[in-house]
Amino acid sequence: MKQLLRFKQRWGILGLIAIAWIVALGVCALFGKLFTSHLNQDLKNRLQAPSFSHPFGTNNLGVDMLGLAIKGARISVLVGLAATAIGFIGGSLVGLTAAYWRGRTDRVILTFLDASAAFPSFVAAISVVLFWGKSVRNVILVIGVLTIPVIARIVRAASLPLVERDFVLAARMQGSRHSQIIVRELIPNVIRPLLGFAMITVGITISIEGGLSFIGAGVPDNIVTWGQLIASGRATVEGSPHLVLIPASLIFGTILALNTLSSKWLRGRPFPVIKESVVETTVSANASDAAKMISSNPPTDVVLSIENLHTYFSTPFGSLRAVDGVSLQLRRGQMVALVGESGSGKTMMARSLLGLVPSPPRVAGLPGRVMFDGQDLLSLSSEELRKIRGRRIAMIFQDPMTTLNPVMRVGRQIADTATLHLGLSKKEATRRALELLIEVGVPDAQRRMRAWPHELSGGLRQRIGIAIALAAEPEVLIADEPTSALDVTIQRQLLDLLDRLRRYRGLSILFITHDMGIVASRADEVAVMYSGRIVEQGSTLEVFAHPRMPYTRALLASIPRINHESHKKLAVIGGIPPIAIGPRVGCAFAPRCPDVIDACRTEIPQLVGNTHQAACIRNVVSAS
Amino acid sequence: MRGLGQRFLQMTAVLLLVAAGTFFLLDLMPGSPAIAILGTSATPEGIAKVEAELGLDKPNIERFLTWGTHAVRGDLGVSYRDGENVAQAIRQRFPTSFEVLILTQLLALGIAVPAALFAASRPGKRRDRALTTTSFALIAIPQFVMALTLLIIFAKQLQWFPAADFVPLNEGIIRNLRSLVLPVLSLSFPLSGIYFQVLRNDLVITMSSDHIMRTRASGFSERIILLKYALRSSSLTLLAVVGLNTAGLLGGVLIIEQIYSLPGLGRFLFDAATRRDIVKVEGAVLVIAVTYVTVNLLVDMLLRVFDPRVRAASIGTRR
Ligand code: SF4
Repeated sequence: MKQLLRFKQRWGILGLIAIAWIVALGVCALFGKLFTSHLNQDLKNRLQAPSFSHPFGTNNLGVDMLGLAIKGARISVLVGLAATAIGFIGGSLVGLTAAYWRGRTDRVILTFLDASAAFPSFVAAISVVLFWGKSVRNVILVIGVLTIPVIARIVRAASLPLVERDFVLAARMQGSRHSQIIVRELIPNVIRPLLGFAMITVGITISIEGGLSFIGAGVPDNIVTWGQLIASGRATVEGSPHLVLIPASLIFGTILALNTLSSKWLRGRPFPVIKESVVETTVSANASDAAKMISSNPPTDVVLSIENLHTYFSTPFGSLRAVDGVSLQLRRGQMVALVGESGSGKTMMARSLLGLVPSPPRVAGLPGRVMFDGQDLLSLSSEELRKIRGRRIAMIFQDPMTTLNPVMRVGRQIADTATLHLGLSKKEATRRALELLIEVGVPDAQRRMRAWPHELSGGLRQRIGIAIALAAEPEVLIADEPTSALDVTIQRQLLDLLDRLRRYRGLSILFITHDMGIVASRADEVAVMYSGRIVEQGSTLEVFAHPRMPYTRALLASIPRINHESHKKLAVIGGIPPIAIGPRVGCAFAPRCPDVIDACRTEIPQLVGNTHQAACIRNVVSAS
Repeated sequence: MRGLGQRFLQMTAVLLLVAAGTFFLLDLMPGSPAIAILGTSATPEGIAKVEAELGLDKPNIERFLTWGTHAVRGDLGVSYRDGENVAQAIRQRFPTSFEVLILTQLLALGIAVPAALFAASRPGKRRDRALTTTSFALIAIPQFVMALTLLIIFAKQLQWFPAADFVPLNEGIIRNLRSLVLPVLSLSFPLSGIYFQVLRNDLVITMSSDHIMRTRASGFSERIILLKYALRSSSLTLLAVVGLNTAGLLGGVLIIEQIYSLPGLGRFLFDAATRRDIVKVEGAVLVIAVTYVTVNLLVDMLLRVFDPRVRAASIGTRR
């Protein structure tokens, strides 16, 4: 029973109907002969509309249409399956060959594929069948061959990106035989979407057979297929439309069923994709008290105050705690660094601030708070939030290659943002964009205005990203790993730029990074994040000089010290950050902590301390 | 531009392949055209005589080359069967087919693009699911079924549109368009389903991409993001698919032409092929292939305008 329910959940009502349809079709195709051996002409009962004794009516010779429809299923399905098989075998061979060898082979094959698309193939099919003679075999062959180029295109497109992937390259390096690589590495990776497409193709080929028979170039007249039925019903279509409509709906239903199945099948991935899940933001009772205490006494120059922020994703395995009660303050002209490994929730936190988490319907009434200029960002409507995004709080991102619009010149991208928020004319906006480019240190700015993102180096692209962010003179900049993809020299230049900006423009910066090293000399404060929570927080000097939490110590120890006489061996932290699903038990760092004690596994450590806070049981123990 | 030069080379190759393919395919078919002309009672001498007259006794390579050199000059030859000038015959048919092609593509896009934008504005929500299901249904209806149904309902029962009398463009544009409504509808419904799915899927992927998130972070409204930023970078696949359908719509809509008695290239081609009129088939196929190649060249140039990365890739300056 439970399994049945799961089955229904997986496929949905439509999916179940589709499955039933296909099963019925299969039964008719395989065993239809058993019911239809006695199909007789009955000239007295010609052209009858559907009735109780003839649910589908009778045709112009008085033969029962239901029987004919069942009989027709056999050849229609056979043609569909066989032609699809030919198309797929041929198409996969051609497509894989083109994708795997690429270069000249690919170009030649592409030219052939193009030529076949330039050719009105349906007419070709008709003539070939007429010349070779009408027979089921010829129809299958012709439709199958005509399907080859279509499949070949798809297979090629699906396998091209795979060929450049590491596992294929690795197999090539090891000197595996080509055929082995194709069979072992490529085919298993493209097979799933292809099988989905094969289902659709079966439907399409059934319909093509219908078209051929309809025009009189399909199977011989004495063989019943759905297309044949439609063709022979056409003469009497005005008096008895059911003769056309019934077989037509059978074809329609079959294609629809196959399409539904294939789309459900393709969508049914075994693991949940976070992008598709819903976000809920919640606050636990006692934590919100703590938040109140913080905000009841706000220092005057606090620009952005994050209070007990929660971002959860619901997954089939339970709530994923991406951000789990984070509080953080940013003062005017200050740079706060938020440090953590990937998966610690720091990026999710940054995106939650401006409502940029994927699919953001927040559960009303249960928010944490993000106070900015006297209002709670989390409670703003998307309309109101948009006036703050980019205008007063701007963001820069890790990979400027993917975050710049690839099909727009960079100058235009800067100018557009300026126009949007400052209401500048086109000319003014362009001038402003140019000024910004100069300010963020893009050499040869005038010319670079007209550059495309892909023409620029990584460092320059990030400068463009900063220029876009600055376009509307924001007060706060959230920088999400803006330098991680760049080499050390460029990294330093960009950090200098951000440093300058906050000094001269009074910009407040929340700098998110996994690298303790680049934080040291520039941030005023550091917050260390682990598994959705802040585990240590304080002024940079304090935290670097006296780290209180083992995780912070490990992070600090992993900074390479070039100026030490001997490169100290890096303290590598073993293990990976835990997946935060289910109730929190004990310290999240316990499985990896070198200083772990039994209490760590049962008691949840809270942030303690005044200006320098840490969440570690051992720290409390030793401090008290 | 080296990219374009390469394109031209490829175009020529495509045309050559199509022309040669058709020619030798027809030549391989059993039976000589001479028999088709003289009837089955023809004597061997009679056949030989006719073949000599038509130049069919020469090796097929030679015949192909002769035909090809004439074709380049716009001379598509004269039919063996009825002595008709093929270029002229095609000139009579082509405008109708071309008109159907253009109208169909425009209507299909006109339905698909707004629908895809609407669906992609709330992916996974009711409007998206409803439209996606509809598009599946549209694709699933076989073309001839759609054509017959529309014919029965709108021409026979309601009599809103003429059933099967085509009015050429030069006899009045309104009447011409009226006579094309049903055939164009039958052709564009299934196409619009396909175009919808292509564009909708690309839009959804683009809307969750990093650069759109960056645009969101800059404070642009979802409307502007969808229309101005996402649509442009998502329309590339759609354009390519639209181009690929050219040949099929030009010469492959035989059934529709038959149901609605349109004097188009599909029927011309079909009649010629069944009568083994090689010269006519060859001419029609060539004209269709040239149109296909031209349309796809246009698409290619559009893609270059739309997407600088395509340009960069073909010139070879990709980083
Ligand atoms: S609480 Fe225990 S496990 Fe957690 S960091 Fe401190 S010592 Fe390690």
